[in-house]
Amino acid sequence: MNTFSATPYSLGFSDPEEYLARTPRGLTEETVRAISAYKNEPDWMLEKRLAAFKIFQEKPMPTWGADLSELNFDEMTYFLRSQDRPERTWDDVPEKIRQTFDRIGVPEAEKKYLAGVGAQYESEVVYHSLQKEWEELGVLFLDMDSALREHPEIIKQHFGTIIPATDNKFAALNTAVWSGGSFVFVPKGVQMTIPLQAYFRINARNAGQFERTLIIAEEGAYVHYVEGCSAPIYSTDSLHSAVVEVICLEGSRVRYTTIQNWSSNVYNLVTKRATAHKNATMEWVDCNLGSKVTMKYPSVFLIGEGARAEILSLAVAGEGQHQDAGSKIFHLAPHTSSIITSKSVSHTGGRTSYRGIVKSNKRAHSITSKVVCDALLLDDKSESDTYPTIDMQNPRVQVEHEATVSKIAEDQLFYLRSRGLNEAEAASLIVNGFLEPIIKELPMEYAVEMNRLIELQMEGSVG
Amino acid sequence: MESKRLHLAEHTQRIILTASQSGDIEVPAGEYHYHLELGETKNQTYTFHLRHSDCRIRVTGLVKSDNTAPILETKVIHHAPHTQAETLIRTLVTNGGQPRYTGVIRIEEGAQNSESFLNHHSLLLGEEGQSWTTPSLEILANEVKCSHAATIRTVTDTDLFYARSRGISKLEAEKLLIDAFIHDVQS
Repeated sequence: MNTFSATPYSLGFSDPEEYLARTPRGLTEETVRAISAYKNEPDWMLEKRLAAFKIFQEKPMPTWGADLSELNFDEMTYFLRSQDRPERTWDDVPEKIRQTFDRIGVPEAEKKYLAGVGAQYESEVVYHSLQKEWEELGVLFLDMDSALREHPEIIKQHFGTIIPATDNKFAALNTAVWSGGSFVFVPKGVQMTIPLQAYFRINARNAGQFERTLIIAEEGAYVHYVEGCSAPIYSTDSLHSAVVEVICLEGSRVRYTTIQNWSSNVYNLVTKRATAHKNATMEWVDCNLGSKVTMKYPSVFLIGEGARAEILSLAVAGEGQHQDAGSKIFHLAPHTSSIITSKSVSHTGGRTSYRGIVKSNKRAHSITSKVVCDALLLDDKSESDTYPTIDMQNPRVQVEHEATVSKIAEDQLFYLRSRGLNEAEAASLIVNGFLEPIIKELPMEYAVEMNRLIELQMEGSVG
Repeated sequence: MESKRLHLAEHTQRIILTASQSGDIEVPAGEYHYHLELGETKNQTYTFHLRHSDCRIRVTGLVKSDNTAPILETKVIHHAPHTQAETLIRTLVTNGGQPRYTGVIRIEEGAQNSESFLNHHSLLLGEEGQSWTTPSLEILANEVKCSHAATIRTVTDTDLFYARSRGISKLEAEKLLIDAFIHDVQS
């Protein structure tokens, strides 16, 4: 599948900007009301949006993390509609948009190895499908706008309960102007053996994309959800600010894999959080390759005894990029455990930061946690930071953290070069080996593409 | 528990720093072992500046948090190339102590071929202790070797079982484990 590209960024092509509906540039209360009106939403949702908009206006910009001073909220367009409703077959999707997803390779991947697919273009989902066998087992996989119409009681019960609008400025922004995203519901005991995938595409200049995703796994269920994304290369900036809420009920397991490959003019400011009930397992596999600035710290609240969290974080930053990624784990029940593995590569002047916290409350005894962060610096223009915090409020714990920063070792390069590889090949082999513990967790098709993409991104960065 | 990675010469000069000397410390050329006598002062920051090439330092300190909430921050800033540093901090928490520690390693652009390590372990005794640690790395040069490690743990039944099966009393065994824990950072 062509999640990635044959040249360093071949997903940078764009379509003409023709829309059925769009809000004027900038963000006012009118914009929020217009989005809700376009969608014909129930009153309670409009009220949530307006309350969140107020919170967004009141909250200051974060003073830590990546530099957001060039981000201009007034320049963005917050809602762009390209078709009336999500289609169930690709033939019904307008040709221009279908061609875009063909070039990315979404329909082809769907045929081969996915249980269901959602494709979002600008603000709304244009295509959505779920294989019949899963539908019959009671699995729900819809775009969020349709879910609000068809299952309002479930949405009303859970929307914003994991990430309230007051959480941070960008969660408030998303709650005010959200549009699109996925709703996944896996009933008790259903094990989804093949993944669901969502693909997000921004096409317009200065566009904002604010998808909202809610995943609920009932007792003993399992689901693997994969998301990918890309955008054209423009000289002006776009903004992607998603909110993803995941609920893992007793004994369930959810794996959420992100392959973030935005073009280098996208601000990617995303809030992702899961709650894990008794004996549940939540896994975030978070790969950040694209974007201008990413600030994203997938979190897990371990609220039930015996719950587990695993976070695998991979970041690659090249010229002009800052990947400020990491994770947050809150141990709020006894016998909970967590593992965080972070691998980052900085090259050609890029900057990667690991920022994370592992925290326990007084109740959470007998917990274990392990955090490992490794960073590779390929040249003297690049930077790497590590800011982990461990805050334990119960003495009966076993917590370990280690971090290393290094460059490619001369002896490793020498070994490979003495076997006939040139310097670039040798370096790229070492980088692939360094990232292997995370890449091997990806489904095969993605792993192959990921290795190729990293090779391409690094072309000419060594030597 | 041998965790020293930097080997200083036998006769290395040992410098004891007390709370009144906290703040910025300009490290002269050569090899030094700085030991922090942390005492009772609640809030202390020590910033070591390595501005001379080939400068090597070890920083050690033991935080005793016995129903207290001390805040310690150490920073090692490598300005010059070929500088080496190692920071070893131990925190012993008893009777509901609530210590906080931040340990920063910063390698400035141009401080190539520097090496820096930081190692922080907390041992929590009793039913009420807490510990908070942020070891951080800020690396602006690429020809470097840097790492940090931090652990927070308690004395487990397994730890005690080994000693007790050899006829050592519980109290004696705990004392032994504490001695081992603080061994690296004693002055």
